[in-house]
Amino acid sequence: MTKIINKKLLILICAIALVFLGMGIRASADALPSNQTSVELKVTNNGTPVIHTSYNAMNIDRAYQEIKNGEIGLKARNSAAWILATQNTNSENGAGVITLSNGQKIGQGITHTDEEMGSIISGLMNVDNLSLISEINQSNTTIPFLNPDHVIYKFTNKRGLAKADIEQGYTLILDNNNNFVKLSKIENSSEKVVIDLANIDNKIKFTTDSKLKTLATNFGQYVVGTNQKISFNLSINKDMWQQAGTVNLVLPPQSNLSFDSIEVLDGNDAATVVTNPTLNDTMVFNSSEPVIAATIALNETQSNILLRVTVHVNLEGNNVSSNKPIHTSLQAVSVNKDGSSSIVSTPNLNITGINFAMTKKNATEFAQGGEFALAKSKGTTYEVYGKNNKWHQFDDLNQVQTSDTLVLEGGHRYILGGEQPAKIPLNVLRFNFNEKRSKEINKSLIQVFGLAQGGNYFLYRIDTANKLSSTNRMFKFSIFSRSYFSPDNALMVDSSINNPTNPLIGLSGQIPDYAAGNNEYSNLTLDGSRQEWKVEQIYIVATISIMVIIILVVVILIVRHRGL
Amino acid sequence: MKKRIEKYSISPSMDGKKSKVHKIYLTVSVLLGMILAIGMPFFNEPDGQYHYVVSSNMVNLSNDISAYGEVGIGTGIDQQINAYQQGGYFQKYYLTKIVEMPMSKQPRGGLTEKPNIKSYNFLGHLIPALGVWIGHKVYPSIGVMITTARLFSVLINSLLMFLIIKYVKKGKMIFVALSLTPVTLNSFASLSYDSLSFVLVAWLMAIVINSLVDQQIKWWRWVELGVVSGAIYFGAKTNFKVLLLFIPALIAMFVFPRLYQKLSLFCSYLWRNKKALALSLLGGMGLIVVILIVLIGLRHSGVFYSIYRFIINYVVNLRDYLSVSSVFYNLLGSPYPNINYTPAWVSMIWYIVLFAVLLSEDKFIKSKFISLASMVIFLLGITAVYYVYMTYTPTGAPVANLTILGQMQGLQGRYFTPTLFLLLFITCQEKFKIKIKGSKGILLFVTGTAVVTNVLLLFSTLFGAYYL
Repeated sequence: MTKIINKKLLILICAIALVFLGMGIRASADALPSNQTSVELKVTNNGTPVIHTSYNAMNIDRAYQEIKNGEIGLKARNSAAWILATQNTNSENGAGVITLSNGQKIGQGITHTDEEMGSIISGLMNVDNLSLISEINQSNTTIPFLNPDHVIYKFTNKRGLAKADIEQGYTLILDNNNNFVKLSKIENSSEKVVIDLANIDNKIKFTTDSKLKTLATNFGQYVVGTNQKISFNLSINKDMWQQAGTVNLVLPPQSNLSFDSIEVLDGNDAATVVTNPTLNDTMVFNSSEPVIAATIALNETQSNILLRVTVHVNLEGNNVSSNKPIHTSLQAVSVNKDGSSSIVSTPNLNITGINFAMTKKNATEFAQGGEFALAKSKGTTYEVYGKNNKWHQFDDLNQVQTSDTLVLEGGHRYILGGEQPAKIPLNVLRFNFNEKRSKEINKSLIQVFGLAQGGNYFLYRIDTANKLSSTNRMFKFSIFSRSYFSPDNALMVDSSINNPTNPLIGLSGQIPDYAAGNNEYSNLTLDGSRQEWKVEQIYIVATISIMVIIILVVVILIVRHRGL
Repeated sequence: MKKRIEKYSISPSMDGKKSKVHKIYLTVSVLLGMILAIGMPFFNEPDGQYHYVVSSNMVNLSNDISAYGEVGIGTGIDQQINAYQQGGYFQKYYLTKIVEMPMSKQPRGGLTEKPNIKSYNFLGHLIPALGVWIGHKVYPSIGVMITTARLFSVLINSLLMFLIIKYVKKGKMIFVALSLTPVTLNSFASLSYDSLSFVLVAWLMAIVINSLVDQQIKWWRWVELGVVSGAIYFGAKTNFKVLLLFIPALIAMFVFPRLYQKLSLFCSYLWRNKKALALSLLGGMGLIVVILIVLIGLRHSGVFYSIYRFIINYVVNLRDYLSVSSVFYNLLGSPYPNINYTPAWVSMIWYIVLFAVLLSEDKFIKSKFISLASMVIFLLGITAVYYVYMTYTPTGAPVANLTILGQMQGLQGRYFTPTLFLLLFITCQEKFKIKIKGSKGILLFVTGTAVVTNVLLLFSTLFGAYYL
């Protein structure tokens, strides 16, 4: 009897606990007060989401208005923070004015425009972090941005998003160490604040031109061909000259990006451009320091400036042909009058490619001798890659002339835009490395690098003119490179090199530089036969299942046996 | 009445006819073992790559594991993490065929030829090698070969343990418990030679127990003893050879029973009537040992340091946390803590299981001598493992402070797991009065813990591979 009562009691306690839990969840769904805004923050670093990182918001509307209108409270002006800021900026003592390093002054009676306020706030934070701003603001409350998926987490989620309910007005976005990230004005009932850490200053901005749009992949990146020139538009705000004398275009150290040219599209009188005359592919790749490619001197102006920067991917070193996709970008760095600099960056350019292995007999043996043209379909017509590193248009593939076309043969690595195809290098890392055998297998392999993104590529077999039907001569493939975060939050890439659409399976272990999920090969059947790995997959699963069943039967027989 | 019969049927009774413990063991072991065999990452046992390469060498299937991205014949599952996270595991390991290569080019000493037939390296890999061979017949990929070998090994080892548990006359539960720990079961479901060592030690222990229960050794049991001694000598890891010291003890007890009786009578007489003399004799013997150590220490100063190291590692926790390389961690609960991410309570609960089982067994040992002998052998077993690792110290520039203080490294709890059988001879002494009743409860406790912790082993290992 007592047992039954105890059980009931237990159920009751559990139920009450559940109700409390439910209430806890409901309590968090309260409606916002009218002076608050639900702000969604999105943080990226040159397009790549900044994941699992803490950011805070701090409403500084009071400080902002008081500094802007020159009506700073007496208490703040007499505070220790004010005196300390005066000392730290070497401002005149007792004058009641603080002079920031860029010459801007704040104090009683000194008014400012909204444009000036941005640099004043960041300038003040350079002096003493948040001390003086908090003093003038009469509050230093920071509100953490919360993970939208789990509100108890105070950090961005896997897409770089975080949310917070913030009082309206001017708000500082701070990083985890309370460093300045951005000043934004929160006024609507819900707002999105987008911050790209590589492009903080919105007075200079890179945009892509329409030609590049089709090559866009995720995370703000582009998969480009190494045979093409790429242009970006660089816009410079008409107020920039007040802040900075020059803007430099800077290539990173060991750059696989080379600078071609720059031209002024709008505001010819406002900018004077000087390019670095010593630039060439070898020099920028071998430089261990960043290289200034061009200098844009800013003149006093009333109009915005628009420039076009043209670059290309150079093929120096082995980066382009390595299976690690390379990312490369160019920066515009303003040399500000106060000694600081603002940096903006072009989107990352990715280079990828594809590997092929020629096989026969249902991809159970390697084959040799196939010759192919690299082509892509464009509506009803075709484009075939030529020896002159350009695509040539054809209506009928039978018209393709081998004399103009780049012929892909086994054993070679082709880099678009490169001069000569290279031999596929030997991989000596295998335990059973054997030079002769490696060379033999390499003869079945074709590697193509530096293809721009696209889903309509194909290889067209040209060595057996009419023996095979045209569908058996056409091997479609796509070129892609997408970034993603793995389950353990490492930045990973899914590309046509490490995850091709038609991978060679089973035989691939023989290929010297094959690495599953890292450097894979596409199957290129020379006899029209298909891979049968799906059948094999079923066979393997079935066989292991049968083994399990046999073991179970044995065990059951033994257990049921009376003599044992 | 009905209840009583039930209780009787599962308790390890004298005649063993109605006990079902061995059948329950077989079912649980095979089911859990197969889950581990199929689910665990490859090379999840310590030195997994080594065991695979030896096993495949033995059946002339020497192959190049660098084709699967392995960078050496080492240990751990690092090279598989990407395949787990990218999702190409089946394609990479099950569909990609092996690349056969000459043994002589394997990049690790001792793998360039087949192991010696008379070594534990050969005998211990016999079952896995057979499994690898069957797997190769099914489909020549590393995934199929390893999975088949593991399934085969689970079946064979479980059956062997099943027979041992059936025929052992006392202490069945300790056999069940130790065989179902994650450490043992994981070695059954792997290509490691540890599983054979465990089975052989269990066999020897079963013979010793049966001899003690029967109070005699028939000729055929002497034959059995000879076989198992040979098997342990050649087929078990080196430190288990210490257990062969049981053979002279058994010979003393059963071949020369009169001499043994006289001696034991004399000892008990000394102990009862001449306590001072007995104590001073013991003290004298202790003194001689100490003097011996000091004498050896004078010639080889390392001895003192080794003793210091041995002691300091049990007196101070030289890490400020429960280290994954702690012997106590991977003795029962976690076969390879660095990749298993086993929570500490799993190890703890297995200690509770161990002691509950030890205290629940019948007190069948009348001889003090055998208890004393097993205590000594147990300690010798510990020193035997330590002896191997005495000279194993890390290098560094400079080395960590812990190394200077004498932290022991490279020790593996699994080397001790089979020696835990010896504790049975101590707790089942007639004079050892603590006893837990309720064999049904103990059985439930053991199997329940086994199911939960082994499933957890798989879960936490895969969780680690995906997320950590």
